Amino acid sequence: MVATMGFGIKILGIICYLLLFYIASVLIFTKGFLLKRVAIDSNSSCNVDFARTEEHGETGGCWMHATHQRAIVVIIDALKFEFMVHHSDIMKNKLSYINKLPEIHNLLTQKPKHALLYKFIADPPTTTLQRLKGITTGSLPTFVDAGSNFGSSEIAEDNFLDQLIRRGKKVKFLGDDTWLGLFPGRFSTAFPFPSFNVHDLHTVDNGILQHLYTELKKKDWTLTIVHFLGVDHCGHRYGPLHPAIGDKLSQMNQVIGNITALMEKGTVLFVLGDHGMTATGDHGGDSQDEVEAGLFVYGVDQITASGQKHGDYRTISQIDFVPTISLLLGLPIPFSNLGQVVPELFDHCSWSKESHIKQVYHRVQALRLNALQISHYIDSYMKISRDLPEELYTELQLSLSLTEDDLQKLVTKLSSHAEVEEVHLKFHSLEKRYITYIQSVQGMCRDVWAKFDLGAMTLGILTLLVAILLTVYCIKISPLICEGKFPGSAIVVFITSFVYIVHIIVQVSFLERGMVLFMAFILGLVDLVFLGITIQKAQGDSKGEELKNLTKRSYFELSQTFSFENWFNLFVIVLSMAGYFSNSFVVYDTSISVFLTQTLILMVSFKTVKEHFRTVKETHKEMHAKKARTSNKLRFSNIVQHPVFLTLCLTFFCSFCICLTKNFQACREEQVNCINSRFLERLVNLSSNTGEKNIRYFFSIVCLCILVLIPYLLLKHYGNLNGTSLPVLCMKYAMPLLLVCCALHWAVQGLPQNVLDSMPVWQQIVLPRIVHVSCIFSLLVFLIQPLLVYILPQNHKSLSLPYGQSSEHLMHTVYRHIKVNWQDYFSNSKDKPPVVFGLGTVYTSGVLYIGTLVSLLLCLLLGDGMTPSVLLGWFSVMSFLEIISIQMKATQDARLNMLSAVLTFHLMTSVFFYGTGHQATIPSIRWEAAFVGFHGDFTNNIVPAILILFNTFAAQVLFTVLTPLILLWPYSKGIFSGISLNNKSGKNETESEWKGDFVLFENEHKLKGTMMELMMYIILINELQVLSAMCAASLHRRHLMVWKIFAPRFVFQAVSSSITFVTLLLVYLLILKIDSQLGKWLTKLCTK
Amino acid sequence: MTDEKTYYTARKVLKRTLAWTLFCSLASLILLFIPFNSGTILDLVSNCLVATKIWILVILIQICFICKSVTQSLPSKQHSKVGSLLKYVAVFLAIVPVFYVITILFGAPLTESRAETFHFALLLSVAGTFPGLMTCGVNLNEWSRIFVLSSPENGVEVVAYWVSLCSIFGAWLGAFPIPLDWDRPWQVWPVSCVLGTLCGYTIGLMLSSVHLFISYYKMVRQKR
Repeated sequence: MVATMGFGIKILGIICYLLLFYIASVLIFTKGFLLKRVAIDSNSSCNVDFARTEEHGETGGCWMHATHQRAIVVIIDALKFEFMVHHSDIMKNKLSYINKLPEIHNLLTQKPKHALLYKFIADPPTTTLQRLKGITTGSLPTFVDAGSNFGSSEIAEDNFLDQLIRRGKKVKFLGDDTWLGLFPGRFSTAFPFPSFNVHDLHTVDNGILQHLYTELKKKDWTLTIVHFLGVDHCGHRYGPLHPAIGDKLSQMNQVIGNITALMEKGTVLFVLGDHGMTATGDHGGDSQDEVEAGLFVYGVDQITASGQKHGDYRTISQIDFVPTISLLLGLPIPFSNLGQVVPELFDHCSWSKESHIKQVYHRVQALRLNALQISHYIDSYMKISRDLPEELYTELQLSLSLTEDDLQKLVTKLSSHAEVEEVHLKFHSLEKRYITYIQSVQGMCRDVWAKFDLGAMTLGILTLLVAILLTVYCIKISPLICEGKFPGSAIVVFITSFVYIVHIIVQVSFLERGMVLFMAFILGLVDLVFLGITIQKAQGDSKGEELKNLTKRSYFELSQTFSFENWFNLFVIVLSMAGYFSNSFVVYDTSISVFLTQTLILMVSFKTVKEHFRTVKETHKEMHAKKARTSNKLRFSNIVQHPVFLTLCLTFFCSFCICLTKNFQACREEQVNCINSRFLERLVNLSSNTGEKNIRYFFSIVCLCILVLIPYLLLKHYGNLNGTSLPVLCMKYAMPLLLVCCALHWAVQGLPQNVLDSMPVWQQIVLPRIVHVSCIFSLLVFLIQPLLVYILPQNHKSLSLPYGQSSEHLMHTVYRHIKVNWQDYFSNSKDKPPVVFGLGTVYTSGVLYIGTLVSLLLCLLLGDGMTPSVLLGWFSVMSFLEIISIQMKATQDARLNMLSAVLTFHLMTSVFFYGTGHQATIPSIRWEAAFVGFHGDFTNNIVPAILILFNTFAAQVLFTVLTPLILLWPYSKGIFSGISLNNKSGKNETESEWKGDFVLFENEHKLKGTMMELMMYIILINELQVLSAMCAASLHRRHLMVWKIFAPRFVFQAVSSSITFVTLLLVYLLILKIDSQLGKWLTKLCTK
Repeated sequence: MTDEKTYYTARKVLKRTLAWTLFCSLASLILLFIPFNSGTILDLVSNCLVATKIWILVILIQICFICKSVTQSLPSKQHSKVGSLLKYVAVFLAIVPVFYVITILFGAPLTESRAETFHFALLLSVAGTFPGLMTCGVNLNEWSRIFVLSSPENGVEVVAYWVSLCSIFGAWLGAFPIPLDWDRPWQVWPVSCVLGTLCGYTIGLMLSSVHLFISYYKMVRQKR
């Protein structure tokens, strides 16, 4: 028994070793790919020690005096710099977009000190949402702005709109409704228009124009934001060379003219594009055409002292807009801004005489505030996160404090009227030093936040490839392991891979990049080649061995490896992997997984039918005489019990269940013509008038009852629910209790919100808490006593059972029992062997028990709407298992084709991932799951994280828990495969010969060996999926949709695989536990 | 003498089948690609329903011709014509709803474009089961021998085997372009699937002619 245990642990070790590779690869890849930045939700305030705090005179403003009282920000989506600049070149005039904004050119030439034009460089990704975040907060874009509100798109960081509103100013908004998602409830007046329909060029713009001028005239605002979409839509639809874009730009020109005419003193106008467009009119990437937008600034008052030469337009970064507008309006610069003020907008001071020194001084002052704000931000960022390089940071801070000191000295000297030589030169050098500082910080942050670490990404992919090859190797040697042998090549494989993984881990966590990284690549490649050779060799070895002892079984295995079915399975795997590389396949993965699952189910059932016919054909010759007598009669029972008929019915049922999951799917925003499932709606929101609420509630309850009843009846059928041991009692009494609590909890949740809020907190959470606690209790009980068997007391006759059951039922139970009659165990026992109930399903019962518990818990977390979906999951799993049982029965001793079973299970998992109302996008995570049984007063984030993970990956957890049934179910004789006619009628199994999955215990290594193969296949398929998700994400890292489609897909796939692996390990441990307990129990039985 | 005679009959049958199959495959190839995107009545993209109907007829005729070529030269195989015809029709009528349901289960829209789905199911059952029906009738053992155990005898059974297999596989493959965002008119359900079925059908005819040719070649060489 010790040896068996050791063997099980060894396999556990192998699997953990493989998982180490997986985890390492995912972490390394994530480190290189997911740009992370911690969002700090602090806000800048007026009270800082480096700037003046009091409101200043009539102009107002803190940090700096406000030079303008009002601002109008006109955003013209996709306004390229090319559109704004004036071309005197006549040849170029032919292009439709050239010189269509003469208003800008006129202002620039007529009032050079009132108007400025800049090339406005956007940070990729050049999508509107990301750009609006940049334009308002001044931060660099990243995938994960981990902060307080992870769920919505609302801006969490400090921004100039919030600064304005905090100071009691009014902000008006007209245009693209993306703004309302970013700033819900911030605008005093808002005229949002939907931005979705790209083909519609005019609705948004005309809607804006209808209100714009009247709203501007009202004067009840400090800031007005206008966002036109026409140019962008025009570009998407026709491209920039179409005449339509000229018309649109002329319309915009008119708008600019009208606005400038309406503007009064103290108002400043910004006309800007959020991004450019390519030659085809698209945007999103990082090409020159896409990032080059334009910014035009115009003030009624003089805004600059220096002016601009025509045709010599400076290039500024898009985030520079934020500090500039903040200081111009007398606001503090938003806390997490990284932009640099545009100095020339600060050198004109209306109430002092023009002097060169004054101008430079003003510029320095603005830059100084800017630099100090950035330094403040970087300080607090460094406190939270260690992303930024420490050394560079200290160096920069030192240079800033030196500059500060020099400035202080200079100013003191000046104020004491001491003569200073060449003041303006000194100021100029200070100005340069501040600019250098700001730009170095920007560069540092950009390096860390906005760049993919290609080295780490490649290393991650390489590591995963090594992991996949290792898994393939393990699958190849698993037949040997089944027999308890470890081949010699295993040690070499282990050593080489171990060296690699240690090197990788040390490399990534401790060493800097450089030559050693190169070493890692070389090592990885060597490992890959070596593993490939070893696998080839292992295959040859096992082939040779099989050929040596040409038993029927190994011959069958050999033919199975190259069968049509396996090729088809590989084809399906390749197809599903290829799907990760296409954005539309990722978006419509819901339908694609259903399609592939149906295909595989059909294939498996086709295989079953084929096996049946093959055996019929084989036995046909022997049984010819017999068959001629019987088979020509068509009797109803013959048809009903015919394996082919049963298979077809089960296949239909299984496919039908899979098809029904469509009713429970949620929609991604990219899916057009998609309506969210009604089952996703919370119960409260359904109207009780139409009865929908009641119908849905009771439907869910009925489904829940069936869900509990199926395993209960199965266990009862197998005789596992006899006796009074604790797990049996749990199954009998705790499950109904759980069910009732669950149902009541949903009823409570269905109450109207105000009634629910008036209830005390404990009343709201007591019911789900009972479910949690009793689930954990039942689980613990089962872990202590994992055998659901019952020994009939010896002194009783086998038919006089002590608990009152009807005689009819009793016969049924006894019919299913199992006699353990082995010579070596019971040589010294009495003449009569002991009668044990439920021994034939000792493993199956364990899995079913845990499966029931888990699915109840999942139902509670998923909410009432999704319970029918969980039930469908059980139905499809059960019918699929029946199909493969029939197949096993037809093929007799031959082994199951593990790959197709595991692959079908895997695809079903993804069907039910979508079928439980989830999508691989971050907005579709159902956060409310964190509050089942808790009231939101979490001290740490672990509990809600676990609840949300359970909710999101419910299908993965449930299906992985049920996976061992692929091995166990064929032994434990399902309902349908049990009644199906035995066509090899020569050998009729009698009931006493039936040993159930107990045969697995007989053979020391068989259970663990096949279990290992099963797990290896699951790991392999998951790793392949993650690999393709990784490759797709890195391949499309500059794709327009990378942050919406590919990156979330990768994250979800990686997390889902991790959860599958963890659950798999736990289930394996459970089976080991049952196994060892069974050993102990048997020795006890013998010695008794 | 009898050996010689059966050999020559078999050879003749093979030859005839081969010729007919080759002819039919060429005819379908031409029919399939020349009217593509032309807007005529045979164009699947713009006139999906009508074109599908015509194609169903075309397939029926082609398969009938291929099978007929054999039955003419094989006077020994005889059926009671009306009875078998009725049987065929009954089986066929039972198969169409099965394909319809399978199409729905694989993800075809349930409520919209029912006519299209029905036409597709009809086409699939014609291309996928009609050849089998013509060769083995309603004999289940024959069916299982040819299709499940995939051991068709030389001659028409090879045609039936390849045509059915390839048509169904083609229909299956035809579903893959549907989710892509290329906005092409042939991506609309069921055009790509119908196209896939027909391409599969044509390729099946070609494959079976290759298969028949190889066995014919073998046969001739064996004799020598």
